Amino acid sequence: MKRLASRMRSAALTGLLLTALGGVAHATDLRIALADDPDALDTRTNRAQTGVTVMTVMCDHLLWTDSELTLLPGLAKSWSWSPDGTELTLDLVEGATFQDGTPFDAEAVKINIERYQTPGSQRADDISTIKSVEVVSPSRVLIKTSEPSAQLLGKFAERVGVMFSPKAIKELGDDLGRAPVCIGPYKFVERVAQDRIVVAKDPNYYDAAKYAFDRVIFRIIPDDAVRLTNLQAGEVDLIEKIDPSSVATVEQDAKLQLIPLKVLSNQTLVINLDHKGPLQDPKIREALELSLDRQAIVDVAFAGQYKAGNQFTPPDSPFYNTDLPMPARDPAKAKALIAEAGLKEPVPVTILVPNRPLLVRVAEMMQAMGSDAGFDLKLDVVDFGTTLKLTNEGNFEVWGPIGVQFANDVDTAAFPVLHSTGGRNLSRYKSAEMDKILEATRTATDPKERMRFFKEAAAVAVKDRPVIYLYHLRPLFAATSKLKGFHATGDAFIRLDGVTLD
Amino acid sequence: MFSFIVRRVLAAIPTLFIISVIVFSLQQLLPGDPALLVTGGEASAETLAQIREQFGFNDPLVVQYWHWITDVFHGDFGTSYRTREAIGPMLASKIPVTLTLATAAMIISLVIGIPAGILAAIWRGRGWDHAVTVIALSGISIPNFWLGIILILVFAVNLGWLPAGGYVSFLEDPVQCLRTIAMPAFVLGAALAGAMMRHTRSAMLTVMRQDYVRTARAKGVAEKTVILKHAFLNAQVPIITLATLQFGTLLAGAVLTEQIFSIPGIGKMVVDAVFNREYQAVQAITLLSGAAFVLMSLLADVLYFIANPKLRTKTL
Amino acid sequence: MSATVDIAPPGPARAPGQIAWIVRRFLRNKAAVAGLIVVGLFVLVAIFAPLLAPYDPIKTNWSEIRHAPSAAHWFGTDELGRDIFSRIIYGARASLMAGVVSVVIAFVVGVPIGIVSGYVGGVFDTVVMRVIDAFLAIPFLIMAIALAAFLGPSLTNAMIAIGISTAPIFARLARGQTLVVKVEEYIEAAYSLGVRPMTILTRYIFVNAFPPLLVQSTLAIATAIIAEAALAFLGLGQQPPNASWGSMLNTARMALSQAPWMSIYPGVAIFLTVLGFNLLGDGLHDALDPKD
Repeated sequence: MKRLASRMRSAALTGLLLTALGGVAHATDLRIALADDPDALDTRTNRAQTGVTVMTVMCDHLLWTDSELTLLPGLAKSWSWSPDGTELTLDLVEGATFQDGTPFDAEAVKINIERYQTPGSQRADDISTIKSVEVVSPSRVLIKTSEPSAQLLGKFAERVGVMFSPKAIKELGDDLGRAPVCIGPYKFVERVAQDRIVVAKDPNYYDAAKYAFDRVIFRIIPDDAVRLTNLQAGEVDLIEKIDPSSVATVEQDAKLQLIPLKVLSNQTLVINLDHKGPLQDPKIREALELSLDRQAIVDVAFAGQYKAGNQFTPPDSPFYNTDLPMPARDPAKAKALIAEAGLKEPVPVTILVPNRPLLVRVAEMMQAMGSDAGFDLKLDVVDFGTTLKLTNEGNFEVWGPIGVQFANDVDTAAFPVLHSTGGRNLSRYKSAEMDKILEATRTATDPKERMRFFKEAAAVAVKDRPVIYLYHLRPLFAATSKLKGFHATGDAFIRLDGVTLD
Repeated sequence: MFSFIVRRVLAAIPTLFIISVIVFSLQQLLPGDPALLVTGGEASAETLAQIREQFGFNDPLVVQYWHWITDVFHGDFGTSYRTREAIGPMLASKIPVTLTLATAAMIISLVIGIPAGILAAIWRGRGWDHAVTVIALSGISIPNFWLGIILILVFAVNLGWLPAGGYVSFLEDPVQCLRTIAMPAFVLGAALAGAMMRHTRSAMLTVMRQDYVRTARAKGVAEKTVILKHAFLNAQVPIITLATLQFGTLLAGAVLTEQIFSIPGIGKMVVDAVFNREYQAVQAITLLSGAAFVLMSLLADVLYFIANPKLRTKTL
Repeated sequence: MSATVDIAPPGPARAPGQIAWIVRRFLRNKAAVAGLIVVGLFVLVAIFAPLLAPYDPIKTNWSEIRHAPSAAHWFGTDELGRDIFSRIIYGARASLMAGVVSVVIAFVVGVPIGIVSGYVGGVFDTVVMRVIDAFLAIPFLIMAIALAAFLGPSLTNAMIAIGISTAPIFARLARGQTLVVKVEEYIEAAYSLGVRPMTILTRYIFVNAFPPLLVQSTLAIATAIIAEAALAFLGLGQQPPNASWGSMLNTARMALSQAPWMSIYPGVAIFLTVLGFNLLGDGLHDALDPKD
């Protein structure tokens, strides 16, 4: 007994010694709770949203966006397009250094952009039109593109805009994501998988005076309820992804504040147009749309916190086509369309649903709505990874709710999903009309003209229904009421300049 | 003694090999393409092919198994293709978490289970005995994830006494550590306490029928001494064996408990890994838990052997 | 476990008096009878679910989301306004079916392997037992989760996953019993009389190994019900809109502070059913095995 006990004890102790030390909170720490463990902290391979959250706190981008998606200067002080829209000149800030002391210059920008283009990069498709990057002077780069690429600036305000130290790139290679060295207010200290990421202020950062916190500690707390309880208990200062049904709890608590953000996003039903079945008939797709009460979905599943919509941009967006408002639910008309198409009720349709509680809840609601509008919706609830495989293979009828979670440019919300060559066109939607319009948006460097093309694209999407837009997310943050000055990028990532804890 | 241990260790090797084959095959059966998951479905076909090649998903299974098992022998469990972190160190950082939790749960189960079992044996057939049976079976019958939810509801949400989840290492902040693991350890320990009660009771009953206990009693030794000194000392062996073997159960139980209390241990890692199609991480954890079980049974055998002289003469 | 032989008379048939004696022993055990009653009640609830449920278990009502228990909804309503009481009644079907079917699978897969392995003996037995040991070494739930993930989430697949993960226990138990029974005189006698091995296996060995297997089955049903609930809790079991106690708990967890009733009742249902089976199994064990 004794021997066993002592063995257990020593095993436990050795174990404890293995755990990383650190994370004792002091006054000028900011503790942020994330909902998911970020993936690689390397924007070249990153795909998870929480990874971007961490990287945005740590690293400056070439450009920034504000909540209206206006482009703001970042590591690039200013930018200009050549008249034909194929040459982009960036003027860089001077005197900045990377977190390892390497000076920041045009050469570093060239190295980084070329790194984002290499095979295996998740960003290669984002910047596929870049032909070459030329160093004009230490503070000026010239980017040449194969075709007018209005969408590029948005990419530079996103993951492609993160610049890593050329020295670290050389030394760490693919392992860069384990201990990233970029240029920005906070540098990497440590990471304990599924537990925490700690970053500390870089005293050499050129704009360090604007940042109040010595350290930022990201804690990973996946459970929505647990995350909120930790905030209530003062264990963390700021949390992301509030479950919409908990909004009332936050609002009633005087010690807390709710911070809703605007973001360009959409959740949709993706219809596989190659799948033999009733949904290949446009009438049935229309009937399916008419069976849905989007406002009820938003009210019931999301406590009214999200925004119902029928286009790739939300109804309050300047890019929304007001000629085509969201149709009201009309089961009678849905049934009439089914009869017109010569089908018998109920029309069987299988929806592939990612296994996440809120999405399943939405799917269950759609199932109920369909049942009195002539549909028999079967739900195939599968974990997210499997839905990716099935949809990539074309092995599905309808997939959703799914969509673009965050975008800082309408291009991201439209082109990849609706263009026949788009990377996320899982509807297998091929329309010459749509392709032409979307290509026109990319050559339009005049913002007004670009907006007009996007509205045309929205109209075609509404007519053809390769996807049925359901609602638009609204990122919900909550923080202690002591937190002041909270703001975020246009794609809803936290920025800490000017943020304080009283 | 030594040769017994050597023989037992040798016998464990084929078992470990078969476990590794089962674990490896199991992973091949999981649907879902890790290359796709890693890219979030945004990548082009070329990028996907590149990732598959890079992680060796295209090699024949036997080759993949060989690469895997040789790496395992080098202490390398592969690299997570999601976070690009080596799985070995990641596991190493989770083991102490789960071990802390499991040890706390074990202590709770012993503290509750053994006294209750002894008392049930002493008052055999009386009210307390029946009560212990029902309590023990209740402990076994409560779904631990539900017990966890209810405890969170009462102690975290309503009373606000304990944190609803998370984990703080003991070295960092002992008080906070105990606060965070109190509920999960109780949840995990409850079922085990039930099993412990029942086994203690039956082990004690067996021993109390033995001659030396009767003799001691006949000699007029105080009942307390009879029970504690004579009976319990001898009943320890099967109890220790059980406790050792239950470590595997604790590990499995930790899967859901860690999930509910957001504890970054092995159990949580395995669930996340299954859902993220992190083949190598699932393999590593399953292999490790299988190996831990084999090791524990080995330990139990040795303990049993040491404590039981009769067996010693028989096997040698 | 040699006790089985004590209560089993030589040969396949069990004297009627013997059975009556076992039944009497069982009925004297109050806890076991209570277990039988609980299990019986839940079986009846599952069978007569359509008659007992006051509401359609999948009928949503968006004006009654997460209402607390009331006269109209005894156990309250869930996140889509469905009646929790009705869902629990229908959930009994999923849970009991999961428990019984997965144990049947485990029994059908495991017992023949165990009996044949024990009967044949030698190298074959050694190899089979090594494999069984390896399976047993992998924690049950981890195995079931991996299998359920591989098969894809559904109630049927959860049952298969649990069944396969439970089978090794049955194989081992059946083998142990076979080894004990195999050396009995009447088996050797039957063998020398030229009875076919198949007949010996089924009529003599299986019949005599059956009582402990029955006890194990009852206890395994209890474990399987919890395992199904655990898989459903992780989203790997019963699929929406149909109810299962585990999946109800999964959604309930998101509304712990706003709607605690969503968590409480499904958990109580699981607990009572599992306790019932455990008490029943315990009682059966004591009735069949008079040693203790």
